Amino acid sequence: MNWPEIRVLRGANVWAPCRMLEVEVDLGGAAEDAGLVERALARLRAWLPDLEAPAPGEDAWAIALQRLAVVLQRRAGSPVSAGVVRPGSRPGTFRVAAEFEEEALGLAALGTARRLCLAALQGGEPDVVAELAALRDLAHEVRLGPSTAAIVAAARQQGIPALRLNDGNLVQLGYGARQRRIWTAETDRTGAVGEAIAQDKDLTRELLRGVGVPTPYGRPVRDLEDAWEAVGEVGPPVVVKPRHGNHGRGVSTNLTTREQVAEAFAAARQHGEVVVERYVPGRDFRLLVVGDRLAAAALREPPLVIGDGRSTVAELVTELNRDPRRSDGHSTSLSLIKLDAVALAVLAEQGVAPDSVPAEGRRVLIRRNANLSSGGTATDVTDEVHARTAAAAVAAARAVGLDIAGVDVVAPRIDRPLQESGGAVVEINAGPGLRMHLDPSAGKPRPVGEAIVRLLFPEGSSGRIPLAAVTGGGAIATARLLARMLAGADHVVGVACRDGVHVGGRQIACDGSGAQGARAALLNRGVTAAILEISEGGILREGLGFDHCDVAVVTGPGREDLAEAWRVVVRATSPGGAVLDAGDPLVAALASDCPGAVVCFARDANDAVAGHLARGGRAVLVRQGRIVLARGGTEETLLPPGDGVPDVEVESALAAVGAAWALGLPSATICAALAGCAASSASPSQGGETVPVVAGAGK
Amino acid sequence: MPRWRLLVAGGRVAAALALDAPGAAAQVHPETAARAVGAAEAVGLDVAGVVLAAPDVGRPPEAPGGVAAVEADPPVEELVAAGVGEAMVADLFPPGQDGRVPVVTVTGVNGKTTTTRLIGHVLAQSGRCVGMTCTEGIYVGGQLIEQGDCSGPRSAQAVLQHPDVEAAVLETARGGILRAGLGFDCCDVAVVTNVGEGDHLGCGGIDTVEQLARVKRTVVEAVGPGGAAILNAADPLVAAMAEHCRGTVTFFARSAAHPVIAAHRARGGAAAFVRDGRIVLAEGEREKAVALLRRAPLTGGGRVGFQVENVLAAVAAAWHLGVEPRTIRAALRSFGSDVDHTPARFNLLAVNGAVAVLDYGHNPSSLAALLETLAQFPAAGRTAVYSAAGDRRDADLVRQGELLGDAFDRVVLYEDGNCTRGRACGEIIGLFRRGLAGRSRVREIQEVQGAVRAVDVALSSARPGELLLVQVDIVAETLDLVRGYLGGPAREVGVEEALAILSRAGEGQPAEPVCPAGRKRKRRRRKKVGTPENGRPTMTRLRAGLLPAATAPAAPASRPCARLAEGILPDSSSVVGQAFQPDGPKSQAGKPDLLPPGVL
Repeated sequence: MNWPEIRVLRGANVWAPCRMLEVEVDLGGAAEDAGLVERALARLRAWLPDLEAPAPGEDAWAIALQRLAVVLQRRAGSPVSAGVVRPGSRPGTFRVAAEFEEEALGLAALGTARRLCLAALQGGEPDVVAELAALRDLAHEVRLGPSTAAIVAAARQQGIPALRLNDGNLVQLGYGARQRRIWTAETDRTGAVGEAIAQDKDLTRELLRGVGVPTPYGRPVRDLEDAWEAVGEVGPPVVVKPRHGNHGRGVSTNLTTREQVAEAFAAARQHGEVVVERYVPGRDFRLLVVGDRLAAAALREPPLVIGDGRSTVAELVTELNRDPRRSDGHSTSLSLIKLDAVALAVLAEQGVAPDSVPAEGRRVLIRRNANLSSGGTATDVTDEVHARTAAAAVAAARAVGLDIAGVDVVAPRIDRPLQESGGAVVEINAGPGLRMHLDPSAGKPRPVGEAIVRLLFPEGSSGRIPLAAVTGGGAIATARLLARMLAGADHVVGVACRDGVHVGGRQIACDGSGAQGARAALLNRGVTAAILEISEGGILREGLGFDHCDVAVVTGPGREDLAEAWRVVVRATSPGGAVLDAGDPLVAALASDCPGAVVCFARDANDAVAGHLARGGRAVLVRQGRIVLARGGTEETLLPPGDGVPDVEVESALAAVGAAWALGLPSATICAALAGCAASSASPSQGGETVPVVAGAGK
Repeated sequence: MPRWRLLVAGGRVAAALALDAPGAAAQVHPETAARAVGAAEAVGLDVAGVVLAAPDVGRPPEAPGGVAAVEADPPVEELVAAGVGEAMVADLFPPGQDGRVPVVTVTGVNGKTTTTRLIGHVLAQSGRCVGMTCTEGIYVGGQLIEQGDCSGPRSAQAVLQHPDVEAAVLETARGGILRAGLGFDCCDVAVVTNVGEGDHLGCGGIDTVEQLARVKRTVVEAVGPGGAAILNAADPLVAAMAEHCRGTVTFFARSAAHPVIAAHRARGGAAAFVRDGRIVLAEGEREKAVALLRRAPLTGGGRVGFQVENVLAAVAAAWHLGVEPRTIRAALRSFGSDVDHTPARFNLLAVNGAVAVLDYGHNPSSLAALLETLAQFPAAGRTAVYSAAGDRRDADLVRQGELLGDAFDRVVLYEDGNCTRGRACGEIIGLFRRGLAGRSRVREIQEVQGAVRAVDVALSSARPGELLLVQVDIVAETLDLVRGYLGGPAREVGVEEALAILSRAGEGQPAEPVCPAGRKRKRRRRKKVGTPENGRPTMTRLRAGLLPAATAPAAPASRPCARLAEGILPDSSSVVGQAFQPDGPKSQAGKPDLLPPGVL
């Protein structure tokens, strides 16, 4: 059970339109003993009952490996399903492909699958539980966080492509110049200035007051003496907290005595400068502002236990932690409640210890603050927020300068204006967690991912740029000419092909025909239209570097062994179209794989073209030495080509014209680009860039 | 390989420095520059230091790559030395943009707030989010975001800092100018309504009207070269500010024939005035009628002279900012002198067949202007409820007493603990009395402690056909009380209707029921008269907040007078003057009705 290499197919590939891992596995004779295989399969199913047993056959063991890789990923929380097994290049070998979502998790699952298979065959006793736990941990580590995942899911729903830019939560949504970036719940327009303001609670308070949003009185203090003085100024009870910071760290509330203030000051001091402000009585609400709207609101409550007269505090906490929604981390809707030093201090303030037995009905706080990460709960209250309170939250976010903000409000109730209820905005958070809105402990989940996508891509925009994939013999020549046409339509064209990645005529990378080159062009924020040369080898090795293109161009000459790769490109045109060489039967046959419309091109009219036109299709043809655009019965003549034009270049020119037409470029722009080519080919090109000669007008 | 730092700002390379030879600037080839710009863009920074490893940044790069680092915060000294500041500003504000919103400032002794509110209203009608400061608070987009006297520089800055504001209208009072200067560097329009006989003279080292005019002139000096000063032609001290304006000047006056306007127009200057009932804007010879006065309810069909002047100033300001005449007309039509648009600025209330005029004016000029207008009202009896804050000169208080004494039959003087401004209890009233002494019309003088109570007393004792002038010093609280009346026996009226009410009453036909429904005259003083929920004041709160404890006013001087200082004087049963029982002598020990019935 060995494989010399693992192919990581990060885009559509010959197996499936999704991301796949592919290995060619040599079973090394192990699977020839049908009885042994059957016993091994039974053992595997004993370990993992959700593994579907393959039908008997010589590929059964390979299928088991593939299914195991999928099942293991699913057990770790990754929603994958696809897998394929085909005969390998030699007898006794099989090509096994399994879908993955996260590359690291997929690779680990494949490794685990192999270990389990070997153990099943050889009679070993692997620690299946530990293996699964390791995969789950890895999944937590490498998967997008819940906030980012929600935004990405909403984007995909709107047809927006997503490219992950790092191992964390930085994701590009959309392509090229239409892209936006998110990093958890921050966007590329969440300004560094706004974020810095939000970090400074004193400055935030001042700016909020300036726009009429109620905030508690307060000020920064130098030392304990100053703090006590400030208590006198704002009037007890007070809150003492770090001037900078978040997650409620170092915050003490409802303090009146000098001892309390001293203790709180010491705690806050550990986080730097300290502010004292008036304590606002009420409950903690988090209002999520997205753009100029309130997207969601949650009531947050600190973790607490309610006595039953029998159990100790520690037992009650353990009972609460049994809730499957609680886990150690940010990935489930609730976090574990920990009886750590902070909790013990809070308990002590209430005169209890972990082993105390609180009376029936008594509420014992485990933490003072209501952050989810320290075990608090969140209840959705979006529908209750008073319109003026919502407006105040939006004004607060705007005053600080954040496009997405978590506005912390303390108020007795949220269904009244703040001025009336005596509530106040106590803090503004950049990059607020969305978990409490996506998956509240009580109340309705809110589609905040969708709200953020609407902010980033208004009016249902898909974030896509015109995208052409070009493959086949004349790909480079076609790509260059098409680039010229798009540039003529005022596009900054990104071209990725064998001789490099060019943006607006400037080279930015060396080789560009693979997925890397495609990525470089689509990541570039200047690019308003992209043309990607797709090499057949690249498709086999790594899959496509994009999800969909508007037009796929395949030029001849056709080759049986390449058809499989070409089909991948043509299939990726959804919902665009394909531009196919009708002069080559192998290429023309790809039309049946194209989900969209087909534009065919041919130097000489043939039956295939005639049939295509008869069905109302479009074709680019040469008639009496002129390029014409034909649709159904009508034809438009573009340019008179001259004599002595090399065949391959005419094919490329027709392909480029077809692609430009499919992309909706006006024929005048297409003509101008063709004429420009002819002119520049007459006088030797300056920049060393060669363009195909189409017409002899200049000669 | 030598290393270079290219400073990228605003999509271009602002400077390049050789890292190996500090201080040496370098010329950058456009292709190299494009690479640095591309690197900053890829990371997503608007200002960045891009470190390149290249033999020479002056030549095009040979191969892709060479970017060693992209820095989010390149060294500041380098930035400054390289003049990157200009590049950054060019990025933030493309050529031709200065990041400003239209700023209008309004100053003057009287009419500031009304003019400010009217300009704000006109600009809001033109579709802009208006930030406005005035003596009642700060408004943004029509929402009150801060309450209080906000006519100083801090409030102006709050408006200019507000992210939503698309146009600013800032009332600028003398106090703020003296204390801290203006809250803005430059304005597009400065309106000076008047200086007249001045106000607050003797405060802050300003003792004469000339000195006061010098202070107010500051706003005219802040007008930018493309801006305009809108100046009252009829006020010599204001008209003289014209020569200190860097922009243009538009004079306004009720009459087109005013010599200042005539001379200004002869030189091609702009003016706003009234002709044939129309508001006319003129520039040199050319004239344009913008609106009909009778369609501007604020002016009471043109009868309220000082409001006509405020409207002229506001129209001229809006005109200078390019507001369409149609929008100006619509705005004038929808702006009345009601409690909501211009609180305590010539609000007219019909109550018990009487008409009460609520106004904030508290200086000789404003009083004279009011009296000019009120002279047109036919009234069976005239009563003034009046005071002024204690920081006025003795002479100004005496002068106002004189004016009142010639125009009113009855004068109710009040003092309020919040407005004595350092004067002893009874001192303000004493000065008014000095002015009232021996004047032609006044027959009775009363005294009340507490601004709100004084208004309450006056409104509750109004008689059919009577005209009351109610000077409102404590605006917010008084308006709370007035709103209580509006929910009950009183309603707001326009000038025409007020005239009709008074005329009818004069013919012996009470226009309003003398004792309106819901206003039963029995045990009106309740302990609980209002709840916080209904937003109306409770008398207990008013008393607690506004009445100084045990401050007995000075004994009445020469004239017969009744003091209504109920709760202050030991024996309140003896203090009500019989002459002012609206319905004849009252049973209940003659105590005045202190409650707006609407709050019951």
